[in-house]
Amino acid sequence: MKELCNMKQFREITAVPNLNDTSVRLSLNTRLPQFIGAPSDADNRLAALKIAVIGCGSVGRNIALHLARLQITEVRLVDKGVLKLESLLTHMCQPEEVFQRQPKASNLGLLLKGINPATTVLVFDGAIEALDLHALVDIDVVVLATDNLLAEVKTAQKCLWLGIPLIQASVHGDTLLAQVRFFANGNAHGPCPVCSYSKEEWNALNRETRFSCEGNSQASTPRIDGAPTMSTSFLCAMASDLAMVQVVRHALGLGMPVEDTMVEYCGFNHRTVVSPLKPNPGCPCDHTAYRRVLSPHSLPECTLRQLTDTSGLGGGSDFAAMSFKVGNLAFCNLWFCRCTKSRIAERFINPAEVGETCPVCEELIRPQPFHTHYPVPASAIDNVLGRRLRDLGAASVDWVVVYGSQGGVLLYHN
Amino acid sequence: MKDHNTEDTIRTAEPILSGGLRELDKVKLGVRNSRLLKRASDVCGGSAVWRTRKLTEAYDLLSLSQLAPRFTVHDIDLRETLRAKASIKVPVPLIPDAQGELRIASVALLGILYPEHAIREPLPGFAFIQILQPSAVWHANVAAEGAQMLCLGAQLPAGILTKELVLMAYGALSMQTVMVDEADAAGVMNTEAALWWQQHLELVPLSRAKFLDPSP
Repeated sequence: MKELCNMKQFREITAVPNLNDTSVRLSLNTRLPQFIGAPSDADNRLAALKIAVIGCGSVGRNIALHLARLQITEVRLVDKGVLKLESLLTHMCQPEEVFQRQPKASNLGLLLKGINPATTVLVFDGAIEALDLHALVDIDVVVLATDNLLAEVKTAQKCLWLGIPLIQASVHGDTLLAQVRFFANGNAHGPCPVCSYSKEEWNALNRETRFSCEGNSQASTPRIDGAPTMSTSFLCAMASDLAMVQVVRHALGLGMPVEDTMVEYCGFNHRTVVSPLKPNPGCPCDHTAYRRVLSPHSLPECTLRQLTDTSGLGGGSDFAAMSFKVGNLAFCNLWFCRCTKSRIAERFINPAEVGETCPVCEELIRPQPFHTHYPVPASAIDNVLGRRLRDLGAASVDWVVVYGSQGGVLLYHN
Repeated sequence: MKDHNTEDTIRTAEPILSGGLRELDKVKLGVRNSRLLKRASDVCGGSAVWRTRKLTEAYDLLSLSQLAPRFTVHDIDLRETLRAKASIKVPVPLIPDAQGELRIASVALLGILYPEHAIREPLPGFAFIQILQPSAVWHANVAAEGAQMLCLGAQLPAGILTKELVLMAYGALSMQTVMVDEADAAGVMNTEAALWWQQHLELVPLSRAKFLDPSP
């Protein structure tokens, strides 16, 4: 495995141990049917797909394996969990993988690479919450297969901002129900998974998310106490198979449009119901997609004024109303240590990292949260807007969002 | 933001609403608070849903300050994260003096922070309230080092209302609601203070007055 410089958080699976990959190169056309109404270049369209699978459990694992068999160009796998004994009941995995408590995403990545060595497989053995917005910027479809509600909210918001279609596959074991929802995220007026949250779902989200107040912790990684999904491997497989049908129908334009629809299969009556998904005007998610702009220059070498110009959002009288997200960095106006009450910082900091040490008292210099901004309004940093991001503590930033009255623009540089 | 000491603190007398704090939107803002809200709303940023929510929260905070004589909002910033500088008349425990006697301040100046993602995600209990003054607060739920963030609990719901945060902050500072068990799974922000308070439970609470009491 190697770390990619433009995808810092993902690791690429480059080889499968004990496998001569030249022996398993196959052409998809060997088995690909002539789908009715499919374009003549169906195989190329499938081959060009880049799909991210969030959640590599009993549903997501099957989906990823199907994607490898479709020989798409790239699969990104995200899961913070490890295989455990119970995984044998619902996952397609081997006992030795379980006993080794292998990370789900990495373990699955090796399987995918073995099925199709030509597919680029990138894995992130962490939570979707920890994944940069920029890490999914070039993805065609995100498939969400998790029973973690916080991950669901985070993924929904990321896909809305990036304008990426989101397919959510889930099961309800008691009712033998497999459900697949397709959120097109094509405009600001469409639905998202959070739109349909009931009071019970909000309560469940609140119940299962706990934080520790231990010590002087600034760490904000929650502990998720959600109950595991009660289901069977065959029902999970049904949900993943239905999700794959939606992936292929969307990619090839087969049949009626699948965008903003829900498919439900119920095993009790063998009925399949397709219904439209409706947006909720009171949804707390931001449904406006960012326009995406590839910056011609390395972002740390740019000033925020230059990036505003590049974004096309303009400046002038509107400039004071603009604001910025500079990667995951917050802008700290004031910080302090034991020997001084507060002092001017005026730089970007990573709130999750330990900061600098004061040369006088040798204590950590800490940001004043009330004087630290994320996003940062232009009017709060007007005296440094002309300075390079590198000189403001953002030497390794690779994405910036510029917000103006016309919406947001995501600037990134590979 | 202005220095809170120079604020005009004239407030409009308001009757207690029959529907309690659920009806803060029915309070008519006084001249000063209307001006504060207007200035903040002129530069209110973010998505439509976030702007709407911020304006509602700002109105609620200002209304609350008219109902509760102990609570004053000095300034509100709605450009991105909702930031309000506000003070509460409440006994605030400070590090004991050399003789071991607890010192008490009578007012807390709070920095209230409400970021955009709080409307859809549960955030840590220490994400919302910074005690800007006094310093040296001696409380199990206030970090001794760092920025004096006040922890309001291990589980706060997504979309919690700012008026609830203010009431929780009052309860925590007056020690009407306090967690001093350092062995609790939720943890404490200041273990040393938690152990001290376990030995001095006779001092708890520091006040039994209700938040809305007319003469704080």
